[in-house]
Amino acid sequence: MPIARVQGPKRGLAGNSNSLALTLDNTPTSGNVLVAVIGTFGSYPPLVQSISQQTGSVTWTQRAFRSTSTLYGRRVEIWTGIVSGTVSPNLTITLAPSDGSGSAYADPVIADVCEYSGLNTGSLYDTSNGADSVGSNGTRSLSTGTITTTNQANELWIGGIFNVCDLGNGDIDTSPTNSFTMFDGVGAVYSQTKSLAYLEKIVTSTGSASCNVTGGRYSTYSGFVGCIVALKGSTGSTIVVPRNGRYSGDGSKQNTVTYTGASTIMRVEANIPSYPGESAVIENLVIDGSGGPTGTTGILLENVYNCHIRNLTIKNCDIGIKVSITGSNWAHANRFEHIRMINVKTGILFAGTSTNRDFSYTTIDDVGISLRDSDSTAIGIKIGEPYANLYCGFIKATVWLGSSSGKGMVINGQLKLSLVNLEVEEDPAYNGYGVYISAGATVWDNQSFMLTALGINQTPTDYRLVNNGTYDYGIVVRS
Amino acid sequence: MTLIEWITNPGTTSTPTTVPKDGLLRGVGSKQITLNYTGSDSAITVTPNVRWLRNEQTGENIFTDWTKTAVIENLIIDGQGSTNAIGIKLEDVYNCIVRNVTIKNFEVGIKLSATDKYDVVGGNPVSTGGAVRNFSEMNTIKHVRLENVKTGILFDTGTGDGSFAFTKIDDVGIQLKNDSSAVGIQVGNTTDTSVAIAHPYSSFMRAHVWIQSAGGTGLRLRRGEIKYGLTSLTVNGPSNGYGADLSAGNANDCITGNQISGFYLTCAGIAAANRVIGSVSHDIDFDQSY
Repeated sequence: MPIARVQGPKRGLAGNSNSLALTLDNTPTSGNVLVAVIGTFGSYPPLVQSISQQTGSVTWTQRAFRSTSTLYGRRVEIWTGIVSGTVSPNLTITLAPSDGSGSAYADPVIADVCEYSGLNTGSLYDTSNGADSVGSNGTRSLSTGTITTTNQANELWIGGIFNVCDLGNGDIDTSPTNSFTMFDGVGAVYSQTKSLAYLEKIVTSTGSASCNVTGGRYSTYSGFVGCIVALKGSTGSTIVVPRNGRYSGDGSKQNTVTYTGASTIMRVEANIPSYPGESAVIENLVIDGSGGPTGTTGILLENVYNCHIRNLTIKNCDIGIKVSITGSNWAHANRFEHIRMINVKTGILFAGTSTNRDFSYTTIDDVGISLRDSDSTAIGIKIGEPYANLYCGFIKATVWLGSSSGKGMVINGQLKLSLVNLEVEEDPAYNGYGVYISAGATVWDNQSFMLTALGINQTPTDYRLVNNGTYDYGIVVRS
Repeated sequence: MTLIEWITNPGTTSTPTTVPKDGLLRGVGSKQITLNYTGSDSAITVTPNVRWLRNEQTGENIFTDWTKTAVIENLIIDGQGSTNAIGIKLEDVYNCIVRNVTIKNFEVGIKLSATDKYDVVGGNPVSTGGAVRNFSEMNTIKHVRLENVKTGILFDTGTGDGSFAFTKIDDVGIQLKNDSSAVGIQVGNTTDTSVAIAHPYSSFMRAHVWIQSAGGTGLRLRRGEIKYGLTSLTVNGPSNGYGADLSAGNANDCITGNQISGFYLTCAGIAAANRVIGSVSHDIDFDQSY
């Protein structure tokens, strides 16, 4: 299940108070996670002692904070609450002194709370950081701090920035950077302007996490505190089809298998080398990788022989079907039949090694592949990553390049002794390729290879068939 | 439609299992179910759906039931302990689909044949002595593995008219018995000129045959014709194996008139002189090794 915000933010605000109560718009769902960003102001700003639900069980944990008592005392914290069972939408944030000189009262305390699905409640916290700035050199560029490198692709990054400006005109924060979405940031006038920005970004790849916002105007002094936390999405689980199993939907395509967080949505248990007499069938399904990160694969056949995949739609995946070999194994005679792929970066991928790369007798029959738009690295059928020998194969497929400027077929390995009927279609406004034979690749001695290239540019350079390898000129190109 | 779904192994039997002409016989999962056959006939047969039905009162022959077709899928059929038996026999059967099946340890893996029988309205099948001849056309054999069979797929005219037109053999792997007389695909099964020529016209065949050390043959014609079709046949074998044996000496044996580049033979390990033998007409366009 992809990460999604299911409600919020719900804002709470109280002046000169040691607690803050707020009620969510909807009852939280068991298994989801509540995220609270809280800012407090005081000479020695109070900390969040606890968050409690009126009824039910929510396991609240502080994940990040930043605090300073210099000039304007201010503190920001990020908490998460894992929901289990039936809980009340009412929650109370209780404050406490942060040190012996301080008070439990904030003036004000501001909080924003959201609810998310698709997070890994068993291992939620990845990492966090924080930043602050203060004084007459105060800046309007306010930062959450930076997490240099996160550790998981699918994550929820939450930042909080609490700032104070010496103008009491209620300016708001603006212009979040790095594609974060900002909520709140509205100035609350309590002698000065105090603002709490709730910053959110759902990501599908690891990276550096940080966000800046432009704070409210100030006259002489301003200061902020910020912090950021990376929360891990569910890693889900891969559906494993037994090596002698049949995984079938009801009817034809009445059932949809969705991305659950695992990089591979479905795979077939290996039957090579020990169980060549057993083989699997997958049929009558829609497989949807929507929300999946880079690298999400619809179906993986690794060291699999004689599998039959038929009557599927595979969509929104980085790779539709991946056939791969590890060790000294092979992957012969797999059959892909009556399959439609939509919005895939690579339709069918053959991935072998320099010493084990035998994908002979593969059948690709009646397969239509619609590539991902605006991705010039998209490929319909890729033979070799980096190596693959496809001998005595059968390919009857159509690849729609759309606006990808990608390639219908890329051959990095060897395609020999096969029967191929490939159609590649493209909007002429784009610059995709029909068949691309890479340096070091071989296309030789095929029974027949018909390439129908529709809309592929022929001038000034003919992109229908590009040969950089060893090729017997046996491909008949028609437009 | 009659559904026969085996969720447990049906047990060892010497009695053929008959699939109704509109039946679907399948095993649970993919290859979790094994039918062990120990008889001397056929492990599985299909009720004929293109056998003439004769009204003896009017003398009219009625061609019926061809809209009903059978499917056999997701099984292992094991003939260990059988005697000269056939894995699946399609006799007077039209438009049947056999897919995702492993057939092993049989004399013949799949036999397509026909008869000169007709059914009498309200009566039993009757042989006409050749006045009525049936056929077995349009059958699909797909994603099938044959292991340790003496003959993989046999087109046997029997007493029918010899037509096996529009047969589809797609993605079929045949591992032959270690026997020098073993054959992957055989078209025709006689030298008797009174028997109709077996002719799978306009058919599609894509198969690979593995020959064992004793030798054997990938494809053999024996009063057979392959015309107007598209074939890709790969034969892996020892040097004493044969790719295509066209040497039976029957006047009509031929492989001609196929689609351009439409009969493609790839031989691996077979001596060059053995890739195609016999002097009958053929348009095997490629004849090479890898």
